[in-house]
Amino acid sequence: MRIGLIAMSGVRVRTPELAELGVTLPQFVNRGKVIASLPSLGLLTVAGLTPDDIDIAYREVADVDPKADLEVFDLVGISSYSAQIDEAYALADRYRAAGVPVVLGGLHVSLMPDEAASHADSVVLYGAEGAWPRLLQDFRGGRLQPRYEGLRAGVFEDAHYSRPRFDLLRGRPYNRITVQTSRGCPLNCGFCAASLRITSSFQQKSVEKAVSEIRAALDVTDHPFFELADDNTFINKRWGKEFLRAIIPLGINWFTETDISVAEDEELLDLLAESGCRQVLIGLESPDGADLAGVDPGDWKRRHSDRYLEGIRRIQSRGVSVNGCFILGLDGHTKEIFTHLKEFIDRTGLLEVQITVLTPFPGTPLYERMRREGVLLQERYWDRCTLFDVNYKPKGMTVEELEQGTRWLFSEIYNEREYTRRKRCYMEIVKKRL
Amino acid sequence: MNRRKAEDGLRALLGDLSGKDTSRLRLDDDLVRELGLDSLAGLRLLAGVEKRFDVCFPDERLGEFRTLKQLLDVMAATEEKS
Repeated sequence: MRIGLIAMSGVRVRTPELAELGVTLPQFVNRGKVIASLPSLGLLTVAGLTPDDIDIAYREVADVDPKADLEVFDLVGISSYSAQIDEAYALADRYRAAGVPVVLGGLHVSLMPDEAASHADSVVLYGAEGAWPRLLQDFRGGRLQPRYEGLRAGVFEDAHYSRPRFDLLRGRPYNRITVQTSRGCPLNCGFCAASLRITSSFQQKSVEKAVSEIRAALDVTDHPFFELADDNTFINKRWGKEFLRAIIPLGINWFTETDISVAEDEELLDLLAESGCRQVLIGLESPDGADLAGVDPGDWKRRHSDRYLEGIRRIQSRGVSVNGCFILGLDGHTKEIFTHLKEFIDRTGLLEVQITVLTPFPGTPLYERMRREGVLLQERYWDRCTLFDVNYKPKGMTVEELEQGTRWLFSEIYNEREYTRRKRCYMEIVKKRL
Repeated sequence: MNRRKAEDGLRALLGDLSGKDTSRLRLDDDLVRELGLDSLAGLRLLAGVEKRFDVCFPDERLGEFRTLKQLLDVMAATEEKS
């Protein structure tokens, strides 16, 4: 039996003026391109959960040519993001029309399973652990079910865990290889459409499992730069330090997502630098605490916002750069936010900045709230869930003001002169540390 | 500083940064490709060179230095100016 696992993750921007900016300001979509060029860890995990007697073909598709011949498989598994889900559905429809059974999975499918079911023979909700092995057994027995629910807890326990098939990446030119050490994040921000939506609580791999995955990935690449595909790696600081000590001997360079609390632990910061951490991405969201009220149920980000400037300085002083993420269009934002955020970014010394527009991804608490409030611009707008297109009426400004202000800020932040200034600022910080 | 000494110092710095043997690196080899230096490591390298050799790379050219030769040329030019 031969199964095709197809990852669809191209970069998408719908608003024409924004698409044009993306061409003239390459840094604007840089992070999106990095994400799109990462291997699909979800499908590599699916491959890892597949018995050895089944042949797996792993494919990545940024843009589907609707006229191209379909590669022949006995079964196809497709995973995609909201922005590209309609393209994934179209590909699934073509395969089914050709008589090839299709399984759909991933975050969007987990949050919108009924919609996805109309384009698939079967949908997999949540993680593949606990679902994929049963699905294959049923498929072999000719009794494939329309829906399988994977585990939402205990996903990394020995009984369910299987190491992702990094060997399928051999010979491919990746700039970064993804490894996941955890799923979920207890902060539970209402807008977040990451792995916390497919877990019932924070799930963490043992240090041994995480390190063994990095070692396996090291076998397939010459110059690995690792990206930890976590929502928030250092929730558990004790685990974090044990993990960092364990990867120091591997001599890798790596990136991850975390929160500003890492700056409060000197030992952790030293270990980050020593273990080859080159950048941490932190969701700062907005410069002012008042705008962060209600972003997460525990108001954690509001309570920690007064530590942003000092936290960034402390992290970057170790030579670990910070990629600061900000969201435009929060409830507290008025049209003054654009100049205010520009001034704040200038003060931070951040090497990299990621600015996105608040996006109500289907199935998130933010989406449910906006739907109740009647502020969504369209009923179905998944192809515009790009993080750059506006899909709702903001509270403190008009849609046009949010769009225009976003474009203005992109031009101010992502031009070559500003990036050069931030690079020089980072180099001076690094020099102080040397 | 003579060019040979500068080259040795650069190789040592690159070795520290990349954890790889840089003794066989040729002057025109692409550092990104040969040592797997990402853009962040590149900035750290430039910062290290500036500090260790007391030179200053022009800000507008920070993205251009991809070989040992390019780095050595800028170091030599900076030394001449001073």
